[in-house]
Amino acid sequence: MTDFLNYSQLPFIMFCILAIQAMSLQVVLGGTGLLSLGHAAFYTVGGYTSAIFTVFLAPKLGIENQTLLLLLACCVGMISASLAGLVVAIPCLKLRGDYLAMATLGVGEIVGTVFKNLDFVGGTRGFKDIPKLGSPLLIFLVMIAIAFFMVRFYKTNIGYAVRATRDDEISAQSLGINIYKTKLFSFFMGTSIAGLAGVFYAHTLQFISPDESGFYNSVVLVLAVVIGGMYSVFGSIFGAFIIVVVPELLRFIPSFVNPYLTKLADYGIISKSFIPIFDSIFSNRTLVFSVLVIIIMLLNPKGVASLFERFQNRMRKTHE
Amino acid sequence: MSDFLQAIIDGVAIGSLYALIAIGYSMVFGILQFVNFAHGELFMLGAYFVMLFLTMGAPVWAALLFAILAVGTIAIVIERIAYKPLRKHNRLAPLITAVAMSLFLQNVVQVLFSPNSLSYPVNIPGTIVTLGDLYVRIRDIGIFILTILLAFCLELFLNKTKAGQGIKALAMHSEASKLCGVPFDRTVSLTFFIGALLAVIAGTIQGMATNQIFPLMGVNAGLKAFAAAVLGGIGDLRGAVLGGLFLGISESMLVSYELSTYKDGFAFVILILVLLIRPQGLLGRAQLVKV
Repeated sequence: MTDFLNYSQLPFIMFCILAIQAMSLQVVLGGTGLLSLGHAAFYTVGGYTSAIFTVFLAPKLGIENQTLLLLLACCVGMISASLAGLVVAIPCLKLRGDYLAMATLGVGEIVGTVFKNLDFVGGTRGFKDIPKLGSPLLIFLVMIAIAFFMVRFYKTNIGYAVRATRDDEISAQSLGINIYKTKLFSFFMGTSIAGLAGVFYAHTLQFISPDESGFYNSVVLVLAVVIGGMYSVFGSIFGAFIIVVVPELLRFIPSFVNPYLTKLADYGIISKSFIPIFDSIFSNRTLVFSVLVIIIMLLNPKGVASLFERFQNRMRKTHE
Repeated sequence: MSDFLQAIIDGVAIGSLYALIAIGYSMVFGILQFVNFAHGELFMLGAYFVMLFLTMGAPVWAALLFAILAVGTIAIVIERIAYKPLRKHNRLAPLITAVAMSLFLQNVVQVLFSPNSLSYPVNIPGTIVTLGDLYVRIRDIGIFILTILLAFCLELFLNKTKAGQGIKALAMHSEASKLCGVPFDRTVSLTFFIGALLAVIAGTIQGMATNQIFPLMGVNAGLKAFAAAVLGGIGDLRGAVLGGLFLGISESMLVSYELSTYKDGFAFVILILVLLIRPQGLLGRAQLVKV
């Protein structure tokens, strides 16, 4: 059991962090309908700045208390990420749809390049030896808290304004909603939560690399949001769960299937050289995962949450 | 002044490669309003296929021809499997399958060949000629001329043939051209094939010139070429060529001013500036829709 706990601790932390990140993107992407392909940039900014704070600034200020340190690191991370978000959003939110996606894609790459060139945080090698703060339980609780906060948020006036902007900008405007400010607010909120995720990432793995802000990571976030269902907060958590857990499970496939394969090879149905190829295919988890993603998208482009909705609707119909 | 000219000459080759890849992005976007993020991988696949055929003993032209046919078919199959069923859904779904497809292709190549870089069996020698103060690689000039020629042929194809006219018509107004009898699916396939063709040529040149290919070579080149396509005006062929050349040359200028570590981010700085100032790109026509 302890083995299992030790083994599953890292995937669990990664799941919680990815879920926080996915929810932070969900406000922007599902809530407001802004396609951001550079969201990982903001969480990298949050991670880096908070790490800079705890490594360089905190010892000078003489902050010893771990709780206070974590609290301040979170504040620093959130503020810096949301400021970065505002710097990007104020000009870029004037762009629409695909063009916004292109611009934010650029932001991710630019942030990576900037951190690669900052030598005092390790340059291309990444920022090492960040002090360890926070615990898995704490991150999990933060994730739950954010989830409930987000669900509440969608029921406030500004939450309705956000969704109205997504559904129809012109109608929203005619109801007196300031579209630009609403978008700005959702971007601000999304990026600050992303910053928080970055703080936890940097201070549990004790390492953050400039490659973190790259295109691939942003896409993983979009994936988490879309797999779970764009319009659902809990869908994002589910998406993060799939992205973290499924590749971990795929790891076990060769050990399950290999005995049967060797039997088949003994009977001469398949050639023996097939087994190492099969092994290398399944040990390459990204490969299997990418196939799974394509299949999931083809079967159900609206995400898993829509299955839930369909189920709920059916339940309602049977009650009527 | 000679530094400036030298930077231009150095950047022309890589700019030509960006241009060749960018045309594929641009044409697909012109028709489907969709960014094919797996396009960079076609560039990589092209390089690998040509290497495969060359090691099997085929002459260069045959290897290139077979590779074009193979990668072109792969591009069409990808479109049919992963993009076409999602065309009617929201914009995000095909985008995600495109990214997943690009990951898939990268990893298939990693499994089948090796994750490390391989050296290329045939190389173009990098003979350098001095012209006054300038050092000119003959190879670079050849690549540039080839790119311009290919772009010219493509332009001719688009303007003079029926199939090419179909592509142009779909890019202009897909509903109206469908009503006029342009076969939509076939034309989309043709567009993907042309994009793959140019990407294979670019990949082969990259392999022969730098003498190494690796499974992730399509990622960076693809993103840069995408930036180049937006820069020139996405959906516009000449814009893609111009954007690619502009990007290649400005990157080599950064290198000559000893800012080479900022090279990778620079393309995207230009990209964002262009989007903010002139969203339709350098050559794109202004649209009435607010961007």
